[in-house]
Amino acid sequence: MSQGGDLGNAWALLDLAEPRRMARLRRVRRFWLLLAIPQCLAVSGMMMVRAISPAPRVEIVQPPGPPPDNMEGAARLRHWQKRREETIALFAMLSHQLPEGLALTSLKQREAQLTLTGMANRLEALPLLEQTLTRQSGYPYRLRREASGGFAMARPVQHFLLELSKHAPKQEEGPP
Amino acid sequence: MWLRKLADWAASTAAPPPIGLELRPDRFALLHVDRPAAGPPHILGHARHRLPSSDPGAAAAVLHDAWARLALPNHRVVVSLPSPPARFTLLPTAAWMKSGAAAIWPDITAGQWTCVARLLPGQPARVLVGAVPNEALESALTLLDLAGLAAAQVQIDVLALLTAYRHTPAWTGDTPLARLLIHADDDGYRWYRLSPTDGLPEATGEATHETGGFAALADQHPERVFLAGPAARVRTLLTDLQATLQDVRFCSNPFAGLPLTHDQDRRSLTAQAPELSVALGLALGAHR
Repeated sequence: MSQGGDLGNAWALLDLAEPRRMARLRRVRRFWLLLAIPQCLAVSGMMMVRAISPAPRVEIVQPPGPPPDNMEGAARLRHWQKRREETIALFAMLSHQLPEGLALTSLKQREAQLTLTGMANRLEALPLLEQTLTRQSGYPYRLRREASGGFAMARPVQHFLLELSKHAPKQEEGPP
Repeated sequence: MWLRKLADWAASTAAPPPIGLELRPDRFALLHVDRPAAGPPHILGHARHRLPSSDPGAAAAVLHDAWARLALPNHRVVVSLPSPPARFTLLPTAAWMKSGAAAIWPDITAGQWTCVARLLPGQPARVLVGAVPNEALESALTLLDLAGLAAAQVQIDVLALLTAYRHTPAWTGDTPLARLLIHADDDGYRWYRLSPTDGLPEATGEATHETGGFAALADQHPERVFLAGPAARVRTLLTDLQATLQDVRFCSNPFAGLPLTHDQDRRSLTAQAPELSVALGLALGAHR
């Protein structure tokens, strides 16, 4: 428009429904925010809690296949009961006599082998645990003990892995 | 060159422009326009029908049928509200900052009116303020909802008329002209004097069809008169005005300079031009 060209066609952009649309947009946005905030908080809280004390993973592995066929009914029952009592005793011992400064993250019980992983925040806690277990649980031999360099690298927590056995480990047959 | 090609491709894949729809309680007029990036807009299709004003459900069905019959590609429309319930004014920015809409129109209340302000470019910057009662806005939007349409923009019909006449050669004169915009409806007509500096209309007067009011019109000493409204009303008004005002050029057809996609539409478009001009302005002025 050459007359009064400074305005152009700017009035064509007037939109009387704009406040209504903005209000609706605001409502929708607020709804999603209110829906999302508690869940985000819950998830992040859970992650924080898990980072401090992870839930232990317990695995009890039955021997593959049924008990030996030569066992008769009563012997089978006794075999099963004995294993069960062993497991209960182990759990009771771990829940009552776990040295201070230790947290287990997993426990795996096999026929003749017990594997534990966890975290320790004291230097003497891990040898203490090993001593308790080799004496009182039915797994008197140590197969493996590994620990991260937590204290050595000035970190507050040391991750460890402990593997115990019912039978004496086989001797290595000299260097290859 | 590849940049130009990319721009063309982007323009062709963009959402089609919304359809201009002049929606009144008893009738509607729609206009489907293609606006290419360069060159004048093309008129693709038009329709106007009566609506059963008492029954919103039936009215929505009629609207929906019109959409289906024309196979319109877009369900987004630009609608307008008539300017006796809707209001508009142009203010300096400072005045708007100081007083707001409540000081301009003391009778409007915050809960019952929707008020919109848009900053216009230029030196000095000014604010275009529009206000509409919620009730009128609500009823229009509800009818659109019932018909399965969505309002992309709600405009005021006099402002849409200004957009419609932007492509008319008589409008775009080089020298400042005393221009008058007459908008007729079923009861009467009201006229707006267009400001020579910014082209915005000022409501000057109104009259009913019986009383006439041509003397008041002649006092404005217009050089150009633009007419819009129902075709029969505009035709009688035009003959009366031509008898009263000599040396004045009248224009009631904003489609005069526009190319059509289907050239056989020209006759019916010309016959219905005054009542399609609001829809034309809405379609041309829609947001990109």
